[in-house]
Amino acid sequence: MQRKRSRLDIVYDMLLTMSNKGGRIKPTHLMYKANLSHTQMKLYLDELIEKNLVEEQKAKKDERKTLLLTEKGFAFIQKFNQMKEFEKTFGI
Amino acid sequence: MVYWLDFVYSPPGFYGKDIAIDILSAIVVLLIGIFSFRNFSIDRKNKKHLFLGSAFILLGLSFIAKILTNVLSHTETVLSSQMMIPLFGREIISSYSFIPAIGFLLYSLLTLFGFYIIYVLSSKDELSMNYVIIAYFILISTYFSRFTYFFVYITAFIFLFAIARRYFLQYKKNNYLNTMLLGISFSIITLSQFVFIFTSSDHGLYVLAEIVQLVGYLFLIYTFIMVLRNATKKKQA
Repeated sequence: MQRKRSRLDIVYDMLLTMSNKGGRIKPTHLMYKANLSHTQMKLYLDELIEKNLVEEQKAKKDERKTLLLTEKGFAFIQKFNQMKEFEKTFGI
Repeated sequence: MVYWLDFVYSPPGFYGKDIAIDILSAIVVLLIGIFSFRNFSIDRKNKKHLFLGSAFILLGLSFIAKILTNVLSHTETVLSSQMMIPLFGREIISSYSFIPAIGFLLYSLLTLFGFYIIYVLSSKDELSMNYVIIAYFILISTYFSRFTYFFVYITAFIFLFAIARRYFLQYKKNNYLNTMLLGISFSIITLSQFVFIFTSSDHGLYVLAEIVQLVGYLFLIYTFIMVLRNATKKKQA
């Protein structure tokens, strides 16, 4: 049985999903790809935007918004990967 | 009362080079310590990052203590023989040896606690009274190192041997190359502590021990670089 994802794992999954899509994704796609409910998605997204890891972009007035992964977001993914590799190596 | 430690310093031909080796070793452990603290800032729920970071910082501080001790000892030797003894007399100068002695005790204490924390983290043992007992033995080892310095190296050797063994056992389970590299790094550092034990009978062995130590810490930084490189590859994949 798979263990429950931690808060940090969910944040990482969201950012990685965005990164795999070239750093740009529709919110609905992100919700499905990161396996989140609507409430969870809103909660986490607000936090990511507040921490400048993700930006919202609206091209035209009537167009649906797109989410953009910031430089800080890309850097976070790298730091997280390094941390996981370090944990695996040291067995911590 | 001031005890003069039977501490083997570098042979004259190796002055400076030993300090350079210790500076490099200090940089390696401090880098890993800082990296571990950074990891803790990302995942505050995993306290092991905090403990591992503290262990490596303690090792870094122990090297700084050793470097300062050696610098003082080398300076003292040169100054004592050339200027100080004719000026102030042998009695005043010999009491100056108190500073390197304190430096060596500090080095011993920090090294042993640093290795001990890594040893505990490499095991899956639960918290128990063993920790208090081992902390007591570390203090005892440090105390006796005032009379015979190699007590410290024997204790460090035992910790390091156990650490290396645990990383190899872990490698058998996870089959992860970086864990094996970590085991090799700690094995080489273990070997250096083993050579340090015998430096009282042959001062030339001090050079060998320092070189083995350098190889061990270079291997450790190589492992650390491999960890970072694997993370970058993962990102690209």
